[in-house]
Amino acid sequence: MNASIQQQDGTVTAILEGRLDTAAAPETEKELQPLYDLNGQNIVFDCSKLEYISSSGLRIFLGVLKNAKPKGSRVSITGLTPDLKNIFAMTGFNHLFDEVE
Amino acid sequence: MKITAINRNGQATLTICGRMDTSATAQANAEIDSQLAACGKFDTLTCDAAGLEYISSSGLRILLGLAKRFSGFRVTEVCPDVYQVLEMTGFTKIMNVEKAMRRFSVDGCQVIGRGGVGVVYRIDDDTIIKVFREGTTIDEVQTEITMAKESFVLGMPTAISFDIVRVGSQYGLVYELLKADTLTACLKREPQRVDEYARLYASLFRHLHEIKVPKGGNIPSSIEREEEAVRIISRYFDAPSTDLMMRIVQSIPQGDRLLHCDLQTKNAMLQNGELMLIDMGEVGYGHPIIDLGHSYSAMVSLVGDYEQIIGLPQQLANDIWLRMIQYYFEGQSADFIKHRTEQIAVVGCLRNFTWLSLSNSFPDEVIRHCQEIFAERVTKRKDYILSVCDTFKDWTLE
Repeated sequence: MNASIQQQDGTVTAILEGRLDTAAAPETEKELQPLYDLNGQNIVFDCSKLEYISSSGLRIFLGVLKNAKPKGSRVSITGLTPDLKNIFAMTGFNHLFDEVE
Repeated sequence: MKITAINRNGQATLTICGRMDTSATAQANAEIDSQLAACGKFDTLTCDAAGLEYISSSGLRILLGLAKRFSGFRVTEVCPDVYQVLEMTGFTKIMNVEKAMRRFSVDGCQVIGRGGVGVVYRIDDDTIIKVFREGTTIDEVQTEITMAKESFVLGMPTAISFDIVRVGSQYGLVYELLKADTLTACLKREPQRVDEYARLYASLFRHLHEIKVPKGGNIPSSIEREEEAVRIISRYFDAPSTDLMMRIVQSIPQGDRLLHCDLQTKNAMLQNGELMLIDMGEVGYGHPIIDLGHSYSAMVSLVGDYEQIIGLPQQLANDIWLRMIQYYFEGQSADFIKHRTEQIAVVGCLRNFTWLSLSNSFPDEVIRHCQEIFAERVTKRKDYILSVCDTFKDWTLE
């Protein structure tokens, strides 16, 4: 599992690669810590290289969302594979984010 | 092609099996009419299409005719091939069509747990399946999946639930596999870590009780459920006892917090140093005293075979609960915590009996035992209990 953050034109992109399973979640959460310090910039999770996500992975997304929304950020998710899209739909997570594709 | 119809209390089901092709439709039409006529009067009509293998355009016209004649007409258990035809022709938009549930076999799967509601099997490295006991209705399974989803989205740490499947004649619910042990198993293995576990247990309660449940969702009111439970068990108790229970329930303050309502150590799993919740059947919203009271009724004041139900020696289970409540109210005075514990114990005392509402097949001796304990723990201490109830309103939520 690999997570990195890029900033461009007021949008912060978090790129996730590999399996965000329970074992990888604590490390990934640490790597995404800078997202908690943003002040209203929009956040995009680029999931085009994400292969799997567990509930602990989803809760990282939820944590970022709950922190960023009150500051006025839009939080979107891009590049989901059909399997992952299914997980987002089944958990109801697709309705939480500004855009999920 | 085989067509049958039955009428169950005004809810008629038309079962169509085989291939509904052009050559068969004229006959099918006549057969459907005669079968429905034999059903007498009915309010709703459902077409069970589990055995329907193929449908031609003339078959589609028959469905359309039924949908026009009977409002609320539904087609259920549609196999993937037939569903595709209905979808391509736009039929799924003009009538209520439900896909067949995926069929699933648990042959050769490892059993990882057994409980009151069913058996849990491991499917693969990432998923498990909970197979509900025979007789569980689809609505009960739907409730569980709705609760699990809504609580998860609100931030409750719990496993992701996937789809409902058919396992033989029973329903199954597919869940994410948590790579974890129950807190009960952890405590049993390393009782010397009780204090550390108590701290985690307390922070799980605090985390839940900080979550406010928005109005208008599907999560039920725990206090209403408690009232309903008292009504259900009133058949086992005399009127003064039932009144007393109702007075306890009605003195519980309103609240909007997320509650698990059965948070014993066996329903919490330790994964990567964090506790996750399982068994979401009783999730509700309300005042935290209900949640803490329910856990007290299991871990501390249980009525029944302690070790068998809780899975821990009583002393150890009491110990973790009492340490937990210290951490839950960390920073408060000893007198304050003692006062809160007394309030929780009263709500717990109620749960020791309302628990009888969860099934209607308890043996007479269990009920008799509960009646005896009620006389001793509640009726005899009525004045004390009501005086504690009067103090509930001092527990305000921020």
